[in-house]
Amino acid sequence: MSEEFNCLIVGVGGQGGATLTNVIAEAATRKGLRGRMHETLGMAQRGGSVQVQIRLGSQVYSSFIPPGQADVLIALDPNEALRAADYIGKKTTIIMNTSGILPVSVLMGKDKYPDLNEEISLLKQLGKEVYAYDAYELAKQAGSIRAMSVVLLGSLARLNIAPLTRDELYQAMVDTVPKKYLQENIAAFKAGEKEIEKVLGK
Amino acid sequence: MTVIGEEGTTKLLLGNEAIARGAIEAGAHLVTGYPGTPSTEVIETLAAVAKETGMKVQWAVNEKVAVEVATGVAWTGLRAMATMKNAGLNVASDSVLSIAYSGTEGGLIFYVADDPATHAGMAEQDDRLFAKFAALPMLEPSDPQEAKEMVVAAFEISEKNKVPVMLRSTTNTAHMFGDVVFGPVKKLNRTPTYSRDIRRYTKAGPAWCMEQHASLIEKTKKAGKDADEFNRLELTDSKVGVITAGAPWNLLKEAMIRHGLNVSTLKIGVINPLPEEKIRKLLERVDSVLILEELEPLIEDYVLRILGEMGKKVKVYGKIDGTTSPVGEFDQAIVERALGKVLGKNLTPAVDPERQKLIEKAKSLSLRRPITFCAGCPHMGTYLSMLRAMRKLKYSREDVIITGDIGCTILGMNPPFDACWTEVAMGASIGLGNGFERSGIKKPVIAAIGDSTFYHAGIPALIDAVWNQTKIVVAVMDNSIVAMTGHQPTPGSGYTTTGEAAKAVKAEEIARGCGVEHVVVVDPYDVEKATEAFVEALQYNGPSVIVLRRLCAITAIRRKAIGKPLVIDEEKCTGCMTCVKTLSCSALVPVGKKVRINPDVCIGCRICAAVCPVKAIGEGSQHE
Ligand SMILES: Cc1ncc(C[n+]2csc(CCOP(=O)(O)OP(=O)(O)O)c2C)c(N)n1
Repeated sequence: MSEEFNCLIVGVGGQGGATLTNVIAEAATRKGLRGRMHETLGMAQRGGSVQVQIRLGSQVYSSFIPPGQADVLIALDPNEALRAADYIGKKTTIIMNTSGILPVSVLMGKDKYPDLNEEISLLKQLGKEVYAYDAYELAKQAGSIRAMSVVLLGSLARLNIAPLTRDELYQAMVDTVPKKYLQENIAAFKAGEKEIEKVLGK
Repeated sequence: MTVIGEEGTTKLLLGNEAIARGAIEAGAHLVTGYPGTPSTEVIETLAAVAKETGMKVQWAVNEKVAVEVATGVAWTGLRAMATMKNAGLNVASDSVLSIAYSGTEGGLIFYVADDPATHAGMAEQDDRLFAKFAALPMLEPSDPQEAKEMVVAAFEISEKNKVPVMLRSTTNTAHMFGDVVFGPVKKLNRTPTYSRDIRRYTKAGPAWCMEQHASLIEKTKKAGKDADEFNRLELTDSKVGVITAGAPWNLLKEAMIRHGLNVSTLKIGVINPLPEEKIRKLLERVDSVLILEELEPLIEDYVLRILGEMGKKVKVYGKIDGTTSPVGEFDQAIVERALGKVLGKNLTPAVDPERQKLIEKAKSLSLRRPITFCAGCPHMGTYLSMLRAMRKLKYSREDVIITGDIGCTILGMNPPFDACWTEVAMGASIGLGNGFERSGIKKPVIAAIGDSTFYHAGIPALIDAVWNQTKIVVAVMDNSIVAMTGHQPTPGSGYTTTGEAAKAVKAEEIARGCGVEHVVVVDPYDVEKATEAFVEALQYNGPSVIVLRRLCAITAIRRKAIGKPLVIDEEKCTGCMTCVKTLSCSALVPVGKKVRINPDVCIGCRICAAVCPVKAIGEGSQHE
C-alpha cells in the first residue's frame, strides 16, 4: 500500500479542524482521489478533543489510520499531539501549533500544561520531522485567530508531502472558506508557507 | 455536504448522508426520528434540502412516536423511514414488534445506528439481535456507497414483501466519509389510501396474532432472499475462511491486501435472516473459519449450528474461543491478531520496546479534556443556584440526592459542580427520584432534566409523582434545543424541524396539566431568583417543577442573540479564583495571580458576576 496517504488532524473543538478537513477533502475529491475519512466525536463545542483521520489511496478501505502510519500529523494544539502518539511513525511529518488551549484542570491549578521543549524533543525522536511554531500569533498577524488552522495548511502545502499540490490545496481553500474571511485566510496560508521556507532556508 | 445532485455525480459523503441520499433516490415521502449519536445526520441532511425535495422531514418527540408516524405513512402506501440511535430502538421497541406483525404497504425502513466502543455513551447493545427478536429483515452496510444502495433496495424489498426492513450501521460506518455515486431520483406521486382490515392491523385475539406471526416469518425469509446480492462470497483454494459484516469488512480487506492473503471470504450484508446457503458453501471449502464481528457472537452462533447440521469439523475462531472480545470496536491491530491466529502466522508489526516507551511517555504527558459547559451555558446557572439553595437550607452535598438525566445537563456531574448522582436513560431522573423518595430515605430529591428529555420520556414519571404525591423537585432545564446531539429544535422551541414557525409546547403548561401545583419559570442567568426558586421548591411538600428557561449559548451565538463580553476590574480582583473554581467557565482565564475574561468567548451571561465575592466583574463601560 505504498501510494496511501494518511493525514491525522488533532485539536480542540472550535479551533478550525473542520475547515482544514473540508479543504483537504475538497481538494482530493476534485482531483478524483479515492479516500475514506472520519472525525471522532469531540463534543466539539464543549472544549473536548477532536481528531480527524483522512486517508487517500486506491486501496484504502477503513477510515482508521493504523498505528504508526500517519504520513502527516497536523496538531492544532500541542497537548492533543501527545495524545495521538500511537499514530506517529518514522515516516510522520508533524506540523504543530505551539500555543495550546488550557484544559480545565490547568485553569483550576490542578495540572500543569505539558512542557513544550520536552514535547518537541519527544516528537522528534518519534517522527520524521517536526515543524512547530505559534500559529495563533501568525494568524493574528494575518488578520484573525480564526485562520489559525489555515496557517498550518499553508505549511502542509509548502512541504509538498501530500498527493495534492500546493496550488490544489490553495484553490480548494479559496473556494471553501467563507468569502468574507477570504483575505485573512489567504494571508494565513501564505504565512504558513513562509514558516516552512524559513526552516528550509529558501 | 448537500445530497442534491445529478445522477452520476460522485461526492464524498458521510455514511448517514449517504442514507439520506438513498431516501431521496427512493422517493420517500417522510423521514422522521429522534436525535441520537451516531444516527442524527440523516435527518439533519434531509431537513437542509427539504424545500428542494419536497420530502416531509421531522424530528419526533421520541423514537416510539417516530416509528409510529413513519408506519402510519407507510400503511397508506407511501414510503417512510424512522431513524434512531441504539438506545432509541429500546424506546421504540414496543411499537416495532407489533408493527412487524402487521407488516406494511409502502416501503418502511427503521434505521438504527449502534455504537460499539460507546463513543457517545450508553450501552454497547448489539441491535442485530433485535432483528432476530422482532423477526424483521435487517441489512447492514460497510461503507457509505453500500449504505445508499441498501436504502434504495430496502424500500423495494420492504414494499414487495410487505414487511418493514431494519437498516443497521455502527459508528464507524455512519460516521465514515467515502465516495458515493448518485443514482436516479424516483418521483412516486402516490395517492395515500388505507382501508380497514382489523385482521391485519389489530392484535385482537390469539388466532389473528399467530396468523400475523406466521406470515411475518415467511415474509422475512423472502425478503432475505431478495437482498441476497448484499451477501458476497469469494471462494479461493485456501483452507481458511473469514466471515464478516459491517465495518470490520474494511479492516479485513486492508489486512488481506497488506499481507497478500488469499483466504475465502463471505461479506454478509443481510444480518437477518443470515444467508444459510452461502455460509454452507464457505464452510464446505474450509478447515477453519474466523468470524469477524463486533459485539455479540451472532454470526458465530449460527455458524456453529450449521456446522452441527453438516456434521463437519471446522475450527471456529471468534468470541467463544476468545479470539476477539465482545467489548469495543475493531481496529487493524485486532483484525491482524485474529487473522494471524487462524493462519498460524504473526501478522502484527514488530514493536520496538524503546519506541513504545517513548509513545507511552508522550501519551502520559497529555492531559485529559473532560467535556465542560460552554461559556454562557444556562445549565451553569441552574447548578449554581441549586447548590446555593442547598447551602442556604443548611444541607450538605450528601444530604440531597440529585438525579441527573441524559444530555448536556449531565455535565453537572463533573467538576466543578459535582452535582448529579445518577444517569440512567432518557427521563429516568424523575422516575428514579420518585423511587428514592418512596424508599423513605431522609434526603430530599432533585431531578435535573433537559427540555427535550422531559418531552421524550419525563412526562409519565411526572404524572406518577403527582398521582402518588411525591415530594420531588423537578428542574426542567429548558434551553429550547436538543443541545447534546447538535442543536435540534424541541417541541418547546417554537420552530419545526425545517425552520417554520410552530406552536411552542411549554413545559410549565405540561406540568400544570399533569396536576403539579407548584410550578415556577425562572431565568437561570438570574442566579438570585433561581436560587430562591430552589429554596422554595425544596421546602414545598409535594411535587414541584422549576422551569429554567434560557436559550442554549451556542444557539444564541448562532442567532446573534448574545450580550456584550464582561470585563474584570483588575484593581478590584483579589485573585481569589472563586469564579474559576466555582464555574471553570472557559471565558475565565487566570493570568498571573488574577483572572481575565476572554472577550472572544464570553457572551455576557453574568453568572460569574453573581459569583465574584468582591463584585469585580461587570460590563466594560462601567470600568472604563
Ligand atoms: C433513547 C435515547 N434517545 C436519544 C438519545 C441521544 N440523546 C442524548 S442527550 C439527548 C437529549 C438532550 O436534550 P435536552 O434534554 O434538551 O438537554 P440538553 O442537551 O439540551 O441540555 C439525546 C436525544 C439517548 N441518549 N437515548
